[in-house]
Amino acid sequence: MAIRKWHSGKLIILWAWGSIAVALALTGFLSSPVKDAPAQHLVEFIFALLALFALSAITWHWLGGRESDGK
Amino acid sequence: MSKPCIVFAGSAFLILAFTQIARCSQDVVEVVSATGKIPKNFKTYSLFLVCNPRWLAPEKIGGLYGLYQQFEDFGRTIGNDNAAVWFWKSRRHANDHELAENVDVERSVRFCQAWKLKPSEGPHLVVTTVYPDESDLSSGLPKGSAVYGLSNMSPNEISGLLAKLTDDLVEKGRVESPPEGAAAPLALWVRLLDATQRTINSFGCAWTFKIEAGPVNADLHACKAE
Repeated sequence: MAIRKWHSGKLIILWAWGSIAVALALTGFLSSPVKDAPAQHLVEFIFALLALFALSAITWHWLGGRESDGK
Repeated sequence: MSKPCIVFAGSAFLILAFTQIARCSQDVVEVVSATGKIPKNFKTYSLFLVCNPRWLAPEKIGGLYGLYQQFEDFGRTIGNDNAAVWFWKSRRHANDHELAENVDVERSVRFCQAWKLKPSEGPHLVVTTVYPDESDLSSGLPKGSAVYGLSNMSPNEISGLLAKLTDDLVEKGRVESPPEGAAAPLALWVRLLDATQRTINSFGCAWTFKIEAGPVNADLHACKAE
């Protein structure tokens, strides 16, 4: 029988660190006008997006899903 | 204290006092006649340059006089360390019928040519921390100068600009150059990024967090209301 099993401890650790990184990037992105340093703002915004994608992918692929309950 | 020391201290005090008196009377520097020099020893120089022929037309005399009055008020409020310079040909009442003829346009034009200012965008207001040496105009506009073209500005907008410049000069002792981006259109991706930032900021300002726990109440806002 297949059951859904989540590695909650790993999830918490991964998303805690990931959220801090994303929050820092977004803070940098929002704290000054884009016109002042467009390239820097672009990097910060893309990093925030990619980090969220990466966290989702890692979570989906390695930290959850259907697993057999067989020994 | 010895006698030479007292004499020296007295002389120094008198020189300092007279210098300060002279500077106080020079807040609005009206340079009269083609040979009149712009005084030195100011931290900033705000030059008003009339190079646009449209502003010399008879129907513009009222506007030009209004502009002079605004500039005069600006010169009086920016403090003793900052000079506001206006070029006249001769000393007359500013509101007479020959006001446009009395403005030393030729002198302004020399500045406009040397500093590559488009006459059609004038009158210009140039704020610089470097002494505008008329014998060395060929070296170009001093670095860090702020140039404002007033041709398309209404009297209210000019008044607002002068108020902002007054704030900058009094608080910081200098004026930031107008951003280049104001003249050149921004790239599409920069505008998109800017729009994204504004959207996220406005979304972030939309929430509030309230705690009501008996005698203790907390009200947390994401952004301070303007």
